Amino acid sequence: MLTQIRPAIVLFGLLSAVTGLLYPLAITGAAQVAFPAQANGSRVIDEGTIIGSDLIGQNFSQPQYFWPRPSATGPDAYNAAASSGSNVGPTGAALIERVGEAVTATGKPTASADAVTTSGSGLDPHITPKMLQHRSSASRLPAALTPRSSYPCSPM
Amino acid sequence: MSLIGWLQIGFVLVAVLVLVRPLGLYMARVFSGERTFLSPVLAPVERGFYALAGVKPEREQSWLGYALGVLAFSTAGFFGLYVLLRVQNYLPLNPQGFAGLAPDLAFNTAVSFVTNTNWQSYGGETTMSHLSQMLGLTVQNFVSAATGIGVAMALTRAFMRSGVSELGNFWVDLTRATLYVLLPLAIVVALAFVTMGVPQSLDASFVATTLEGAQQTIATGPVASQEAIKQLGTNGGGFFNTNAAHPFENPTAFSNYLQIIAMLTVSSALVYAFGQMVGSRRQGCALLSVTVIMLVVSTGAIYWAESFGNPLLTAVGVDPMLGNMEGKEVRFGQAMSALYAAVTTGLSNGGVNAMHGSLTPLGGLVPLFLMQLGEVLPGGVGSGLYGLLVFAILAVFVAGLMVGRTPEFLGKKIEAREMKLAMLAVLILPLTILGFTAVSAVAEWGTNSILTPGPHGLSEILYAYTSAAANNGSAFGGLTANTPWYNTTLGIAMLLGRFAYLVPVLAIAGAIAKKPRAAVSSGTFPTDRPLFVGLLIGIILILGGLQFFPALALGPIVEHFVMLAGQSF
Repeated sequence: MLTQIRPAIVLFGLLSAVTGLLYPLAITGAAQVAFPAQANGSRVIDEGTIIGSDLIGQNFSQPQYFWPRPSATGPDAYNAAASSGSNVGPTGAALIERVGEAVTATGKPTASADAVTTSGSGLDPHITPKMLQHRSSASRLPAALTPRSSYPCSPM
Repeated sequence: MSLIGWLQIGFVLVAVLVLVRPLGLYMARVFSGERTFLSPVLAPVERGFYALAGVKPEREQSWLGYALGVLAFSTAGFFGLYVLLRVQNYLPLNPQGFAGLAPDLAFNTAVSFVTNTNWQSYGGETTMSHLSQMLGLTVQNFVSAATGIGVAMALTRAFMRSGVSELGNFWVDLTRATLYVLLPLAIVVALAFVTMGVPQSLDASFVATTLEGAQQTIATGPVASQEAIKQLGTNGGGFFNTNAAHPFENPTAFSNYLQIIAMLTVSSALVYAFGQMVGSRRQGCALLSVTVIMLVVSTGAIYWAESFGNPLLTAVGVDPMLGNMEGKEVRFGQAMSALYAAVTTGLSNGGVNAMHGSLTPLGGLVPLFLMQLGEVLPGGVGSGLYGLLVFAILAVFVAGLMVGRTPEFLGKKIEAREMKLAMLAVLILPLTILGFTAVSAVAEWGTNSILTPGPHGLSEILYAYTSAAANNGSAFGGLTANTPWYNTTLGIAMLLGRFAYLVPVLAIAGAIAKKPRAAVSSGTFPTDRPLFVGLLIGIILILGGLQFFPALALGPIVEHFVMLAGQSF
């Protein structure tokens, strides 16, 4: 057993240095040089202010914007400092109640599934065209909008 | 279900099968000690490591020596990680100023990453300093996978050799698996992830002012480097709380393809490498077909169940056309969420791109069942191959009983000692899973953590212990697992699932290496034909799965019928 202790400790130290410091720092350096926009979180900058990330959904409530899906993050929706899904099970009364209320809030008898359920991350930046049709704000859509499989709710 | 969905599933699986052969052949060379195209760069580094560690690479170990090496290295890794997590507040690269972890959480997390489980009782972006993510978790993502590869190679050599007790040198296998296989792949995959939008910086977060004037703090960090090895090493531990559902871990449909391909390829290539090394590529392909068949069927089952939607939600006015979208991301949709869920549990990955706890009862049953089969489809890096070989040994034994001949696998007679050890290994999972689940389902300290009561509550507990014992790491996230009871017992389950399985496997390897290799005769049961593939699937389902059927009946199966009856809890 004693003959195992030296290689265990020395190799753990050496492999830690290579895979835990050298590797991530080298990737960081390469990424910052070659792909700085992506490596820093795909920030969207408008007149010098960061207005969001291309990839992260945001909560909108004014009618001129696309509204995102409900979000399970706390304490506020679309908290990108603490991602979270609801994790509630399919037979949970909490789920049925919450979704039922969301359907009622759309003012229509049925709603698209993405419009009334929370995403896995709580930061889902996309909505489906179906969801737009169900939304009361859909009438305010710009006329030039081309049909796509999904629409962004992040500033692009 | 849609044609596009199935085309995507087919595309990913074909991409993996294309990569399996070159990578498998490369790994066979690496672990036979041959030169590779990376040797000019890496061989001097490797020699330096051995010199410093006092390792003589040509001196091989018996099964016991190999096992002691694994245990010694894992122990060193555990203490190193535990201390790092406890004192992260005193160390650099902690931009958010996170506190050190509580003892029970540090124990759970250290065990979790050393055993290649990556169960996470914490939320990454609200708990871990960058140094802990890099020097703690990323390191174990590499070396726990490399340890698994080592054990798989020791068992492979046992089938290649006869009349010897040496199985290779653990320190050499560990070093070569890390430097020659995992590190180069991780560099390529990490940079690919960055191009797709996965962040890689030492900043903690940045603040955005939304168009409506609200402030949004967006957490980032060295994500891509960890994401790459998380998939390649079938670890599954995410940088962020919501793992690969988080847009920074998995930003696009393409990054999602790459994630699934990265997690499947190394394990599958090891199975091919096994065939190459024992001199029968057909054997490797036969084992691979078992995994492909079972993965496709499982994916189809999840895809079907999720596309059907949740009738309780349909009743309150949800259009079922998109299927069950709770806990899922729009950019992946049902097909790629289903494939991810099947692959992450058929392997011992445990990363998730949709919240498994919010899957429909049958959609959640499949991942649970796949883990209970022992994760052999094709399983974790290394651990999957040796798990699959244990089932293959059991399959030839059953076949031998049916025709009244001594069972053989690849020319090695399978006798009482190997059978006892194989059964010992296979019984660890039900013992650990069902034992701990039973206690937690009746005791207050177990049931207090349940989020969704009713049958789903039992599923939450069963899933947690299954995930821990099978070294998977995915969760029905409703369960509040960051309590002393769950942190401690899940830690014990992970240790048993890893080491109480791995040591008997090495003992089998030791016994098999000593046996002479018998010539193939007309009475030999061929193990590289469709008949064996079918038999092996049957054995995996019956031996691996049937023992859990009563527990599954009380959890997801009851929940399914209750859901159809319109009841909620």
